[in-house]
Amino acid sequence: MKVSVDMSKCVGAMKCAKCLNICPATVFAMYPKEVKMFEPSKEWEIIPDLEPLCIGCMKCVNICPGKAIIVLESEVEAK
Amino acid sequence: MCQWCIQHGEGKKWYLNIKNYARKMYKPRPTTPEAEADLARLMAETVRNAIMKRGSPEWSQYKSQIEKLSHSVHFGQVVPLEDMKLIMDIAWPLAIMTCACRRSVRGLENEKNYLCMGLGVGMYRWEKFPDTYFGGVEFVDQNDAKKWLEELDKRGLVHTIWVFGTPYIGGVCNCEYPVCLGIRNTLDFDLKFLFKSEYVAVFEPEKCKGCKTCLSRCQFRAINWEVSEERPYINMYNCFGCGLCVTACKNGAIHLEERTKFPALRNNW
Repeated sequence: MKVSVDMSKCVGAMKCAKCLNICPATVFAMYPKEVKMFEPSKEWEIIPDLEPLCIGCMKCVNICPGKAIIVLESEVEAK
Repeated sequence: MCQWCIQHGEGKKWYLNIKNYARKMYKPRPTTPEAEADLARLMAETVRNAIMKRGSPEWSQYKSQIEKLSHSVHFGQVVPLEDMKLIMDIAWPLAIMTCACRRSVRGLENEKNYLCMGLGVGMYRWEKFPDTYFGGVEFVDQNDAKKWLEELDKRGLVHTIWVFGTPYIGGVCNCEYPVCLGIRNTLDFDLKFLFKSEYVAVFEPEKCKGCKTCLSRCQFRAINWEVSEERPYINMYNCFGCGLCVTACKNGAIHLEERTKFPALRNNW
């Protein structure tokens, strides 16, 4: 499966985080956008970290309030 | 739809196609019980020899040979309780018999071992020779068979069907790890003797109350406890879709869905 997150549509990774919790395969992960030494990062982004594990249930696509997530079927599938 | 549905299902799930239980499909087995025991021993020896070769360069060759043999003669598939009840309406006669796996792995005595079911005409021979076939068989009607299945479901056993010469379905087993040689070979030795069911378990965290009942039910290492979230985690790649966690959950937080609904799971058998 091919998962992509459009961060311009995301309503705020830290506030929402619905995709992180609804995914039955724990595909998503949240990372700070820029890492600066000794400074807490304010902006976070959602990354489909474990994309090969996606089963294509579309739960994240349906729950995302900003409609930021796209899931496409790719030819290469995880085992 | 698994490969067996495509080959033998005629548009349905293959185990609901009545042709796969037809009397004419029953292939005569070896004529004497001794010859039959020899055949079983030969099968076991072949598998054992292959397992010894694991990790060696010849392994993949052995694996494909053994799987080819198994898929043409004797393999199984997990079937959840609801579908199993439909099978009880199709097949006849239904005969409860002793489990060969538990006898050979744990030495379970016959009285406790009536955990498998034979389907079809072959069972009349089992009835005829109770000494040879370890306790003989007990014929039951559809309602009793369904009650028997429900009871075993409560006890936590995985329902499976087994072919005797593809696609003749001649057996219903109620399996558990590690005594079931089908589960054992599939999980531990990567030999595909047992196929996953047409369904997969889907977990709804918002309904879960965290009673941990489902944890004790999985025989396929697909559920673990997520400590910080205080809820179970179902690995849907490992899930065999047996439905035991579904029947155990009092809050209805787990349900079965068709495997083909999930693009990444529909080729995962």
